Amino acid sequence: MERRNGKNWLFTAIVLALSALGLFLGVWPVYRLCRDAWSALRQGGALPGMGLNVLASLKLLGLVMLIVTPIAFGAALWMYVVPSKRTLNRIRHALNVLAMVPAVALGLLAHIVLAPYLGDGMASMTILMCLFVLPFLTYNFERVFSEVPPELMDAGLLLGAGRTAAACRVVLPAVTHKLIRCLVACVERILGEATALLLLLGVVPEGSVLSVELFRLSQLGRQDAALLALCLGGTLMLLRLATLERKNELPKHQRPEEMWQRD
Amino acid sequence: MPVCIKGGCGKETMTRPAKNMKAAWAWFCALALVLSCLLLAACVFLISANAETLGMGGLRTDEVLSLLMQRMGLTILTAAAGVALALLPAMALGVGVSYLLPWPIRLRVSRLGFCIEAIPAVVLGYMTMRYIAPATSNPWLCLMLSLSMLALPRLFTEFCSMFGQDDGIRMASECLGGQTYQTVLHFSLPQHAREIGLIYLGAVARALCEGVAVIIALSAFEGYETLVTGAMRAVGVGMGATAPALGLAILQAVALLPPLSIVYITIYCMRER
Repeated sequence: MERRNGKNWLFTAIVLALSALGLFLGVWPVYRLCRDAWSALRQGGALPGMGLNVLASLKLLGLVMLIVTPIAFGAALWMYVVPSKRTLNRIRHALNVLAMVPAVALGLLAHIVLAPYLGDGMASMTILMCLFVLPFLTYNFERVFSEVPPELMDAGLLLGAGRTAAACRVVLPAVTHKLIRCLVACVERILGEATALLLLLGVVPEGSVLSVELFRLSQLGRQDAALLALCLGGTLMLLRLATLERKNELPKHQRPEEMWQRD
Repeated sequence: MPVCIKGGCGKETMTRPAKNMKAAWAWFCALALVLSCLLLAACVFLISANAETLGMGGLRTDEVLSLLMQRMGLTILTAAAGVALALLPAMALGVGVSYLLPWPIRLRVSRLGFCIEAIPAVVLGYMTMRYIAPATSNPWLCLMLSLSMLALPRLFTEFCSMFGQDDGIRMASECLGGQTYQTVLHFSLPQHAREIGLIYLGAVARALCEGVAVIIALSAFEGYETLVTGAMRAVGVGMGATAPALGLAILQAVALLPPLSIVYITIYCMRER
């Protein structure tokens, strides 16, 4: 019995030591970042000049969401209502493959195809980000619809509604909050993405979106980049916090497990 | 691989899908490797023939090939090692949170981890450049630490949700008089071995494609590039960028295909098994 207790203590000690290492690796840089951001703020850092970048980011976000949301929603609703199971599986596989395309490939493609015709302005960036998030959002929407209990749809049909009417008036209200969480995950992806945009832009201009501006400032070795980094990271963390479910469950990932790219 | 399907042997029938999946994995990997290498060779040939238009950064074909091999090796090794470095602490954090903390604290810590995971790569890359690179003189070590820092929050949340499903196992083990270490080592870890493998491979795939964090972290050192950062530099990204060489960028993006396809095929086969 004593031997077992000893082993249990040893196990707990090893777990605690490794956890402390993990916490140090995660928390120490964040603490340093907060300290640097505070000192940059006291010196009157980049905050006044950040307005242009915030505007550019919001403009990109608005344009992309405006284009992507109806397409993804329509596609997901169609996938829920119309196709057979076999077709649906094929479409799911295709979406999965599209969502797995790395940011570097998309960015390079945009650099070769879009930049010569549209330049490296907002139009190219919007199309690139639409291509980047559309499969992700469609896949997530479709997953939300597929998790709805079939009884809901059956009940709607039994009451005499058509498939589309049942989907829109019975199923949709039941999943609205989950759809909003998918949209927020998409917003996180758009605001945080930098690799694809940098590849599209090549040489980074001033007054671009926040993530690209952070890269530019870090390359210039500017102290006030810490403030920008903290603002960007903090905003995305708060967005994630706002979408957490209130009920007593551990958080789950919104994105499909097969999608490993994140920026 | 020949498999006996006659004789009605139950064990044979049960092990057949697993064996078939291993054979399928080997075949798919070989096919992906051959196809992607052929594609790479074709790209090298075509781009070399049009080097003046596309730009190869002034390098000859043999120099380009050796550069690609060197960067591919650096990319794969640092991704695998960086994620492996984060795996144990993340697993320990997951075990600690799931097995040692009471439920309300466990819930809050998991949620905190989930929120930290939302920090984008560009911010993490900046933190690496500012706080980790000055402490390490070796670019390999810096790159590995940067990738492990990137992987840690995601791995932590994955392990938290994985060990969070173990309440049944935990209760059964405790009813049988098992202690925490016995539950974890003899019940939980063996049951989740495949999931842990999947989580590791997923993180490796993500690390292989990581661009902005790595380019920021490596800006403290000269002459060290992965395939993605090499492609980024070739189109003019970053302070130390040379003249744009689109051909070189395309080749480096294509060279990412063999390791990435093998990782994805392995993930697919492990999931389907």
